[in-house]
Amino acid sequence: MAEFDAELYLRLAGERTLLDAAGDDWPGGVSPVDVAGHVLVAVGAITAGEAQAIVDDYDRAQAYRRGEHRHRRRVRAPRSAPGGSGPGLGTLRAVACGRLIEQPWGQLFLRYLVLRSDSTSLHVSMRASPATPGPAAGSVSLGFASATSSIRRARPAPGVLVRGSRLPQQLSLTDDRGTTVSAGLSGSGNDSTWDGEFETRPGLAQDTGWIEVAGERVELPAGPAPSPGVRVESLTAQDPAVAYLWAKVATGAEFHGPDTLESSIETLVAAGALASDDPGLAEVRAVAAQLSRGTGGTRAAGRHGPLPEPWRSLLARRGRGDGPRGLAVAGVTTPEFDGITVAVLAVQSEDEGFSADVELVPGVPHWRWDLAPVDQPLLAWWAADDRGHHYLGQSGSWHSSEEHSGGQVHFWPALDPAARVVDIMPTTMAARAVIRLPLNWDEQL
Amino acid sequence: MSAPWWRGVAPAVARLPCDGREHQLRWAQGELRAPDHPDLEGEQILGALAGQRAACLGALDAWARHADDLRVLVMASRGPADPVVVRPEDGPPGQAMRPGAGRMARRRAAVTAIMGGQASPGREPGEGLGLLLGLGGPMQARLTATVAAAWRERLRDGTASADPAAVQAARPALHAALYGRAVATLRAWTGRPDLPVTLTMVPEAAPPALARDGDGAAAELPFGWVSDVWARGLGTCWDQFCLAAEPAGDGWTLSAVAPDLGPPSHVTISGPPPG
Repeated sequence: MAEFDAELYLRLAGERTLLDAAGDDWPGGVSPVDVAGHVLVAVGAITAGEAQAIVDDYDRAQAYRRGEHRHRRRVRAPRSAPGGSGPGLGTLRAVACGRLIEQPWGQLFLRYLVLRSDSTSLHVSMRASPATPGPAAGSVSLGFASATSSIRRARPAPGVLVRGSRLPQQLSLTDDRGTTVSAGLSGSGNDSTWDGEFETRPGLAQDTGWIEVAGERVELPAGPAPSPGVRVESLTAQDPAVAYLWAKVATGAEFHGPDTLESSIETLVAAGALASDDPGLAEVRAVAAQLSRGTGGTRAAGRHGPLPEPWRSLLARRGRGDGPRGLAVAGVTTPEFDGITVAVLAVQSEDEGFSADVELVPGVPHWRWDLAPVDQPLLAWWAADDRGHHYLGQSGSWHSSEEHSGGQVHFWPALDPAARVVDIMPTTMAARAVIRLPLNWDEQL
Repeated sequence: MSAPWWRGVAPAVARLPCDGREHQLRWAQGELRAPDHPDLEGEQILGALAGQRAACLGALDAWARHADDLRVLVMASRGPADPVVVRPEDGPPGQAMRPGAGRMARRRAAVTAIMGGQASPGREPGEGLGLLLGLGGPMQARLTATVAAAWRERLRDGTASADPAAVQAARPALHAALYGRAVATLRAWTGRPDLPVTLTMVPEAAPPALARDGDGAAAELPFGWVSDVWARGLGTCWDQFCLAAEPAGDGWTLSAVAPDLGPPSHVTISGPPPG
């Protein structure tokens, strides 16, 4: 039997993409040469540099044919080796605020504050006053009236800059040293409602006892908050090919569907990394089929017996809408695992699910970004509670650069209302971090 | 002795704007020339000193730089069913084309190249490829033929070639280039855009073959098929798939397979005249 030639396999996949009349109708919208490149690098059949050059060349060839070459200005570079010298996340202090401030333009709800050595970010929700014209499109359902305190002001408070938008774009923040900084808004929303953060660099004193915002003084806890437990676990005992497929399912099969998975399986089998009759394949296919159907259940057609954990408990509770409502501030940074460092700032639970505000170094693009480098690790967001239930997350609102990324990770199904602890587990093929977070809700929305 | 690789490849002309006028680039007998620039060397020196370069000279420079560039075989057309239409002003992807941008860099690079005869440092690997693709389909085909002929020679030389390791390393790219063009030709010939094809790249001296393989076809072709057959427009001839072409007088003797995929037969065709 001829020795497998990964470069030739990848190039022939590239030729097929050019010859294929299907054009854009690739499974999941991802080019087969891209799929093959990621798979072959993941199982060590080809170096990232070699694979990236080939994938980029065929990507460019495709762009020439579609007339998109003028817009293809970017060439993907393989990621640098883990443990590079890029900036880390550093230490951070996260504290709950739970303060509602009434303003002439509407309501400013201070959710929590993150103080870093080089920056400060105040995470907020804002809602424009109903008196101002224009209905809110897609407004959020935060029950501001039940927040812990409320003060109405007749005029905008000092340091609150309201420009064309009905919601302020800048806020002044002051610490107990008398330092005042101006923080700019980011996040998502519309003219009437906004969830996001006011961030400033450099920031306030990390150990400040209070901050002043919009004329309100917010006292911060004096001592350090009880730190959530965090540990890193190695997953290297797994078979790389099967681990890749599980990671693939966990990071996007719900969107990409089984066809992309089949392309990955075909490549793994061709590379000799996986036997075509490997018993793990039936489980992977069964779970992928369940996910792509978007229905609940713990069994799948074509396979006898229950689905394996953690998928069984995940899918069994699919569609639940009885999650608790609240915010748990975490403020924890993991050690580096598989070249990635993660900070979990806070977890917010609602009826249909829960989300974690996170930051990562180096940057990890959004899971739907189809131009990720071929050696981009598949980062799955798992969670588990103290009731034996599992949850799966995917990035939602997200920002990313090569050095840094962050945003919200949305988990499903809804948290079990009886759960008292949740483990947030960012997971690559080689390792995972486990961040144990007590569910002491700081905020009742 | 075998015929020169460019025998049977018709001359081609491309037009491009240069110095405020429309100039011609002419390809014939394996060479690209700029007939509107009779004093090429003088213009090169003056252009280098001024940090400017006429578009025609830029195209000649790019052609020379990409004459054995395997990426040409990835980017350029696989045949009539695979048009690659690039406007010359588009340039290569990944490179901004601001007027005047990089003039000093080009000037330094050009002076370095002229004075030292060295490849200019820091050059983008794809620089100029977009320009060449933008010269149009006929020029693309001749650039492909040029690259294919260069590598075919190296394959034929084998371990005696100047850089056997480079030849070995290029095999996957050459195999893929052969696959793309042979499959495109077979699919057009059979009228089946989804025809499954298994292609084995055989040594240059091995006999080529084409046989039925289930619902598809299995082909055994040397890489030289690209320059000997495909580049000369002989992929299909009189409803037969051409496996090989040998010069015969002022014409060609083809080894060709009929649609029933039976044994190959020899077909002799005449013209075009050599050279």
